[in-house]
Amino acid sequence: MKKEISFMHAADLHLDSPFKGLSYTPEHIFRDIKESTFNSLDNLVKAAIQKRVDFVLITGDLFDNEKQSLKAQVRLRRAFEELKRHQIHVYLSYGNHDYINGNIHPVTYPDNVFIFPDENISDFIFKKAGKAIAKIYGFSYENRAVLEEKAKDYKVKDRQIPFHIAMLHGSIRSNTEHDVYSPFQLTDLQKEPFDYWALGHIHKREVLKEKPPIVYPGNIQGRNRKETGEKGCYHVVLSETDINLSFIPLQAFTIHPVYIDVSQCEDLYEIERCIQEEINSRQLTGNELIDLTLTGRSTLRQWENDKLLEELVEVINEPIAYAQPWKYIFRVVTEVKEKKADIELRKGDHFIGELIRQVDYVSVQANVKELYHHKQARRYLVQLTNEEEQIMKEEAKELLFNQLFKGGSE
Amino acid sequence: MKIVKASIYGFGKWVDYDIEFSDGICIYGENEAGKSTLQKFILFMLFGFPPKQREFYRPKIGGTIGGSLTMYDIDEGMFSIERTDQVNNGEAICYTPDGKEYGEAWLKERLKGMTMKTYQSIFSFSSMDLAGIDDMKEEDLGEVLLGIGMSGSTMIHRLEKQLDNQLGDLFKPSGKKPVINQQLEILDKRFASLQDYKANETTYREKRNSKLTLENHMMKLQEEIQKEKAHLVSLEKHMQALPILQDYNRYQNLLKNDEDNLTFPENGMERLENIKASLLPIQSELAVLKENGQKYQQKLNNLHEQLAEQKIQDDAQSLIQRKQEFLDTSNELERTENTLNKKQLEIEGELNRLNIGLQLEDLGEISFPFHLEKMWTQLKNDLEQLKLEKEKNTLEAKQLNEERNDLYNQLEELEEQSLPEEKVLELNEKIHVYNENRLLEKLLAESNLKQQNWKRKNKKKEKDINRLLAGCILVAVITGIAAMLTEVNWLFQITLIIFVIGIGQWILGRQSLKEVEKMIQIEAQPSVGTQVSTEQKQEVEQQLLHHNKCVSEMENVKDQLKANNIQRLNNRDVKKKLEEKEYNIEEQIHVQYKNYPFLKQVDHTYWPEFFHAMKQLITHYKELLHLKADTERLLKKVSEYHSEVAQFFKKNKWEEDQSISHQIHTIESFLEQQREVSQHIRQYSDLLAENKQKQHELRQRVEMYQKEMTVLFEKAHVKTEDAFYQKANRLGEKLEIKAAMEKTLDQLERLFPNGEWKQFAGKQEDEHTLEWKRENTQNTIEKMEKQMEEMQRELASLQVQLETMESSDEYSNNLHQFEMEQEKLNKLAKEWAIIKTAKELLIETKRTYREKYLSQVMEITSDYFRRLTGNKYQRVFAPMDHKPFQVETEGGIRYKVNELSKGTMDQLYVSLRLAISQTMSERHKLPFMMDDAFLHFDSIRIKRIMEIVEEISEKHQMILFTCKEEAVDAVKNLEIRLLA
Repeated sequence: MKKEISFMHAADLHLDSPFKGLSYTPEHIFRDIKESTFNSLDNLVKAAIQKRVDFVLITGDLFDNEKQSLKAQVRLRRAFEELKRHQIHVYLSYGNHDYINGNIHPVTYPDNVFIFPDENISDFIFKKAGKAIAKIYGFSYENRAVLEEKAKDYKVKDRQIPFHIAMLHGSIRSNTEHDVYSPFQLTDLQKEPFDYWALGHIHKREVLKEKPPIVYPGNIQGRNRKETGEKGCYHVVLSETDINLSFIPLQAFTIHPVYIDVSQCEDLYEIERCIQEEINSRQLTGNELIDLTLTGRSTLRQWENDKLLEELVEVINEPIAYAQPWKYIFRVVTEVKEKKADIELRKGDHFIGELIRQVDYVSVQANVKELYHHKQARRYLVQLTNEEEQIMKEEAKELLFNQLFKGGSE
Repeated sequence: MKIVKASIYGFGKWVDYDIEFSDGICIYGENEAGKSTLQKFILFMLFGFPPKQREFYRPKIGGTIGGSLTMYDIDEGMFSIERTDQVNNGEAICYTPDGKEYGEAWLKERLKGMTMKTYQSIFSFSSMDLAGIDDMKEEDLGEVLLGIGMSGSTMIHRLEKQLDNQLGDLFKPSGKKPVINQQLEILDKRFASLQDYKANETTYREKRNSKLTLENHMMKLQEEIQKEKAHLVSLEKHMQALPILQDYNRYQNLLKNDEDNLTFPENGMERLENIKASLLPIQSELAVLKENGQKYQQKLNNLHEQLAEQKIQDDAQSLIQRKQEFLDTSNELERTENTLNKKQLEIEGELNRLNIGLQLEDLGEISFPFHLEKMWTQLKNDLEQLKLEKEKNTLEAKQLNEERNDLYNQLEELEEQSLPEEKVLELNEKIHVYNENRLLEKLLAESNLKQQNWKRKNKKKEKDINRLLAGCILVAVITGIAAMLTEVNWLFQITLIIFVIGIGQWILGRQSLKEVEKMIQIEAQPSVGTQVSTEQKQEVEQQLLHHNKCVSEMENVKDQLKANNIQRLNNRDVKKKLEEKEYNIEEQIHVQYKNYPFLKQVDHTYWPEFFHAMKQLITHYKELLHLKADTERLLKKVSEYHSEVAQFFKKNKWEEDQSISHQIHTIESFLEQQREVSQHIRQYSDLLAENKQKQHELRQRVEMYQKEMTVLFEKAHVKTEDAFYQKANRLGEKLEIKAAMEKTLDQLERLFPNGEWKQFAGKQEDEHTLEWKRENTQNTIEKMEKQMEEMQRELASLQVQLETMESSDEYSNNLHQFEMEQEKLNKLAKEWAIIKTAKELLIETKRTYREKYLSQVMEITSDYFRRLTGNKYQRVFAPMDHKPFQVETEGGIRYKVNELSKGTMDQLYVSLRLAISQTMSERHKLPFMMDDAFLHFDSIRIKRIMEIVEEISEKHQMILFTCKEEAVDAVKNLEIRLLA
């Protein structure tokens, strides 16, 4: 018989973690969003069963300890039970979000689930037709952070076993966007003859290397506006001669950024038409949250300040939110093109010139203390980043411009 | 920077219009004269317009929008800005005096950060701006004026207020109503309930642990119960098994006593009986076989005596073999003799029938050559033909003679019937006469017809002539009368002529008629000759016809006679030839008579048939000779066989006087008897051999059984059969005891499987002790089971609680909800933060600006205000440290601005606007445009302001637009331009 194994590689399920950056949605969409991580998990189980894989690998962050719900655990157990009914094994390691010592709900999983028990690299042998065919290596986070270079400790044992798969929850040392845990360099992973590196932790899907595959499958459902597009897992078929990777989307809905230039639009009706054209132009395959960015003239800001844009979006959302599959614009950002004028104005001795010059000196942090340090509000508010501060300054400036020039001839 | 010249290609109402500007210029025009459009054109040239706004100024008569503006700059000197709608979307092209071209960016550089909006707020104002001030609330006025002092616009203060309101709507540090405060309330509640749910979910772990412990306890208890129950069962069984155990012990003792060695073969008795039973039939069978063997031997001896010598048998055999041949030969002989006799009789009969005097023996000498048959047939045929021809010839001769006679008779008859020569001539004449008469009659009839026709024509002609005469007379009368009346002479002459013509005509006509009548009468004369009737003529013709017929028949008969003669001559020639032929045939017949004399007695007509009969006879005769030879040969063969048989009989001394068939029969029966004897001998020999074989086999089997019996005895250690039986009985008894023992053991094993009973077998416990123990155990079990039930209840309740928790998603729901509310708060907070920042930015800018320029602006304002009010007011004070905007009179009295009159307010406003533009113009030297800014000013004030304007215009280009003549009148030094 040809020696071959097939498996699903998923990571960062973050079951039941709330969606970030959503201030309001209709009830039914809220329900869908709330259930989205579970639906994606169900899709993973269905895909595994349909593809008749030998086992499923989940490389860490199955849920968030900080906001861990019993529901997440129970639904996970049910998923594993379903896989057990189809004789599919599960190999899982815990990551920085679901580290062992922080787990408050000790739900027992069925016996087809194999969990790497501690921070030491251990392994499980997968047998097919009574013969050891694959060895799976990995470790679990016991505490919130693992800072050692764990990748260097992975060693292939029992070389007569055909396939060796390593599971590692961590990121490349040079990565600056995320917390760097269990840091590694690509060369570390290529020293030992592993057939597949099943990575986790980074939510963006990426195949770091083809041969042997070193893969971040990404998370299975977008959880904030930056996690756009299709999300899912990899279906991997390893044989002695060939490696076959295919991505399977699992998401319950996608987050889709839409950029529209409305600088040619004279009024709100035209903008509405532009947005609707853009939104309706694409054929939908599933539910979709739309992150809308409008680029236009300064009047756009004025409309935004006057809440007219907000009302417009509500009007646009009304029909599409109740369609099947639904679409929903959950965020609108405006960008103003006319920046050139600033440079000119800045040179003037007049009041506006002075105003622009003042923008450099004004401090947002100092001025917003009233709210951001308010004892009741403080615990719910996210402190502003420098970037946000800068954007705010710009927006404040534009607000003033629009108002000061209002009524001026244009 | 100054505007020197504007050239408008096309802009609103202005098409191909040039206007030059001096440092100070007052442009006068009625309403709708195009002042505002001109201002817009300058703005368009300096700052450009977006396409839609440009389009608004497209001239009504069409053409391009655009123009050029010539400017003077201290640094750059003269340059011109050109903008047209089509070129680069209205972008500026600047031309410097050195001939260089620059773009929009270069122009922006020159404008030093001035945009259209800022330019308008600083360097241009109109009466409209003044109107705006009236709307201000009194307390705000100072702030508004301050704003104007800083930016030339009234917006700053309004914006500040608006931002404050927005902030207040969003958030107040200790408020309840603002949106953010409300959101905070919501979040507090959510957070609290979230904590509750979380706490609740935390108990899951404890409950699970207690569930596990409970399950452990239950398992242990269950095990104990099982153990006790097993004990109880074993006790009960023990009690039940007590009697059986006693039996067991008894048998055990019995078996111990009887331990001597009883060697006996396995199933010995049975085996001995079997051997004996098998041996008996074999022995009896052996006896029967022996007796039969003796009988067979005796029978065989008897048979051998009956058998004859071999030589005799062989001879007899050979004779019998030839018997059939002999019989066939005799039969054939008989048959041949019969045929011979028949044949002889047949030939003799045939000879008699032919009756030609031939004997049987003569036949052998006659021989017929091959051609004979043909020759005889030929002779016969020739004779017959000859006869036929002779007859025919004779008949022909007779016929010819008869015919000749007939013909002569006919000729005679015909000569009698024909007419004589004279009679014929007379008859011919008669016919000729008749024919002539006929022709005359016909001509007469024709002339009668013609005459009638003529008569008719003449009558008509006569009438015509009469009529013409009457006409002529009438005309002559008329003309005559006319002549008489007119007395014209020539008319008389005419009358005369006409009359003469008429008379003349009538006379001529009459004459011709008379002539014609005469002619007709001549033709009608009839002719008369000899008359011959038709009947006569027909009779004559008949006679002539008959005569002609007879003459031709006579000719015919004469011809026939000639032919008859020729035929008779031919007939005589044929007769001669036939006679010669007859003679030849006679010759040939005689030759045949000589060769075969018997032919004389046969008519030659039958010769062919006779030939066949003779030929057959000869063949029969030859067959007869063959048959005779065969008979002789067969007779010889028969007599040979007879002699051989007689010899055999003599040799064996058997009776000889017997017919040959009898003798043969005797030999046959002898041979049959001998065959039967030898058959019997073979049969008995076979039986005897078989018998011996069987006896041998039986003896061997007997021996085998006896050997087996001996083995049995040896095994039992006995010598005799009796001893063997005795030992067998003893063994039977012991086995019975053992069986009873086995049965007991079986029962015990059924009650206590796997040899458990052994532990009871040793110790003897009584029934009472056991009963006591049983009750004890029973009680213990009941107690434990009650405990178990309680635990199960507890477990079930725990299970339900856990399941409820597992199926609940309250915490999860709250978590998501909380996250969303939090996001909403953050969004609102950001909104608030932006507005807040904007407000702070505005305040800060105001502060800085004030520090930088305000004192200068106020100084200039004070100067202008003083001059405008005719020194009524000396100074203007900007608000500072909670002091409001104030003005100071000559007398040093200060008034708040809202205490000033409307007119004074306007003057203050104008002063402020002029001051700010004056201040700004130090850097931005752009022309100042005023559009009827002093609409409501009286003439004194206009004069005053014009002075100021003219003063400013020395340093700073001023462009005034006005429709007020007073304003124009007030101008001293400014150039005045009228717009048509």
